[in-house]
Amino acid sequence: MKIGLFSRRTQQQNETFEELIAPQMPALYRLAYHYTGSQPDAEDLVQDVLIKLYPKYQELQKVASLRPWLAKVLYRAYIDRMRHASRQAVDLAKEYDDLEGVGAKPGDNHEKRVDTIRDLEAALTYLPEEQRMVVLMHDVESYTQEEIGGVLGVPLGTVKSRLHRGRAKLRELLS
Amino acid sequence: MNSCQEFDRYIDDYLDDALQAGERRAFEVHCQQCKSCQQKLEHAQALQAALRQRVVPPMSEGFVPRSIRKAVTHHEMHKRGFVRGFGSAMAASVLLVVIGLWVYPHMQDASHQTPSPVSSIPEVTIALETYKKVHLVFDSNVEVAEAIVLIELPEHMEIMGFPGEAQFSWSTPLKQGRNVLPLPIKALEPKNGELHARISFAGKKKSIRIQLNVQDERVG
Repeated sequence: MKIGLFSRRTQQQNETFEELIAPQMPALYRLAYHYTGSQPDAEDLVQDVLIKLYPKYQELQKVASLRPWLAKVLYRAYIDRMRHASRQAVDLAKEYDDLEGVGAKPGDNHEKRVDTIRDLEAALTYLPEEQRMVVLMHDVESYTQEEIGGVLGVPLGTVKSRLHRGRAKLRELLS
Repeated sequence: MNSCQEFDRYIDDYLDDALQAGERRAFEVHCQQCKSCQQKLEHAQALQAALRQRVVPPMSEGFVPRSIRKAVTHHEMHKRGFVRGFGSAMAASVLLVVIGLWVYPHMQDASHQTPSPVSSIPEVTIALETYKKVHLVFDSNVEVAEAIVLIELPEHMEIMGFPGEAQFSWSTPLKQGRNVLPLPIKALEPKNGELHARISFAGKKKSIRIQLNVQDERVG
């Protein structure tokens, strides 16, 4: 018997995993980028997800619609990262001060009209995380509201509400 | 729909093209008659267009195959574990080359190494275009929950199952005693090279170089 580092069965498993995942990578990466806001962080997040997914390749084969399923796994991985990061002290006030032309601070910015914000990216950072997620997933990446509800684990009504409030806030910030 | 108050209620469904035909028509009629709502709608549509065009920088070159390989490698190396009984590994192997790499909890950083049990670069012979197993033996006098192993190969050599991969890194436990890592390696070109192995844990690391001499077994 030829002794290899990997068995033939494992080679087939690897090929199956690659066939399933490779076509999904652009969408997975885009969503990761929307979540994290940087290419290196997005790639790190996607890498984490792939490492978690590999042992579940048989489960992957049974998934009818991989895109929202993978989005859910990605979202959970992102939340895990955020929770881990939140244990480290972050000066949020400084983060907001760094936004050019913005004098508002968290706490009062959501109630004020910030006429100085002309940039969509800056405006997006002003949305509460839960609204930003929904707006980016729906309006940028075209996930349906039902899919978003599945990804985030919230009812459809909550998705609609977050989308409505997020869009309204963006319009307000950018008007 | 005939009031500005209802505009807010319907605008999301209008933008998502989710209104019934009658509702949609009523919404559009109101916007045609109300300059304020018409401006709000145009603003909302412009925002939708801007969001759809949000720029996402491309993935770094080769990220897709690289990340998939890394995921596979991570699990396969971990699953295989390489930590196995020394005796069984010896028995299973026809071609056996044992390289010692001693690991102790008090080992120093590589830059301040204490004298190693391996005083010179060990040499092993591998084959051109044929996999031969090289066994690295990690000898630890304590059990280690998580050690990081790094293997680097010359570009003209490869490990079975990982074409084009020159570097492998994964975490693994070490048992007390001898831990064997069998590596099926072949040379792609008839020239020698060096394998670098490094094991680290608890901020300490130990490195070893192994000279891999290539023999073309196809020519006498």
